[in-house]
Amino acid sequence: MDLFTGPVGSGQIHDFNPGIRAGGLFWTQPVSADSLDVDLERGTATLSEVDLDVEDYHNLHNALIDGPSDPASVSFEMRWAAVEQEPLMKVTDPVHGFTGKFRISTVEIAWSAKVGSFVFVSDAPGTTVNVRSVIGRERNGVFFSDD
Amino acid sequence: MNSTDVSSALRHSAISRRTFLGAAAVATGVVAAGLRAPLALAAHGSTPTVFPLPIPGGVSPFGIFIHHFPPVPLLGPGPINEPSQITDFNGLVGVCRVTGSGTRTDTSTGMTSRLNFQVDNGFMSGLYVGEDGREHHGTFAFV
Repeated sequence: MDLFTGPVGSGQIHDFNPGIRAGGLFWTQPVSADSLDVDLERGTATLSEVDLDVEDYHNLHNALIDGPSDPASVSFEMRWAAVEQEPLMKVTDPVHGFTGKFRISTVEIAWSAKVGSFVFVSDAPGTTVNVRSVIGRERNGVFFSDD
Repeated sequence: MNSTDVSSALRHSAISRRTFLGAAAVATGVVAAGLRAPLALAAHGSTPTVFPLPIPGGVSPFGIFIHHFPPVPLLGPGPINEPSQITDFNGLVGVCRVTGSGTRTDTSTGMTSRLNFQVDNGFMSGLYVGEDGREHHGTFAFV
């Protein structure tokens, strides 16, 4: 979750993420099952977290090299909604070893962050600009070939 | 998501759109209570205690390899990049890239400034093989 003083990509001053695990697991944090609500039939999902512990690495490069960081927390609620006009995509990608059924979606997010004495609060969710979002069901790794 | 989609989703959760929109104004946390409908996956319990393993593939921003594919651009041969961050996984996934704006406040001075954001977030929920080599059920947020 990145914050910029200029247009996105310019003047980054905050980069909130939980860090990269020693084995390479990328910015992935266990959360309670209660934080997620998925209804694939309706094409909707909601992911919510309150005061999730993260680090503020301040910029992407520093985050990737596990540079100096400050303890921070983020709260968010994000809602996926499949675009009805977009067809269900059945994808099998043997190169990257995953298969599944996916739908192009839109996402709206409301989020906040706290680090030190700074608090960030996003504008209303309706102002979110969706760049690329998908929702679906996936198999990979040892489950890639399962029927 | 257009307003119709939001309204539909909110009807499903039996709350008002105002509740959702108002959440962004809460500096100490944006998540309002009672938004969620029952979740089948919740039957699998609470927070996982065994971490999953990363996907083997990925990209190399700044020449640094990471086990992650960005939501965009497409890297083929399929029509999407792999959404999951974890391997040996069978379950529900979501990923997104969104942008927007907001307000940062220095609570020690009261000074505010406008900032722009990009969020690449997602979730994985289902069956996975953990670092211990055993199968587990769990939910993970990509943050």
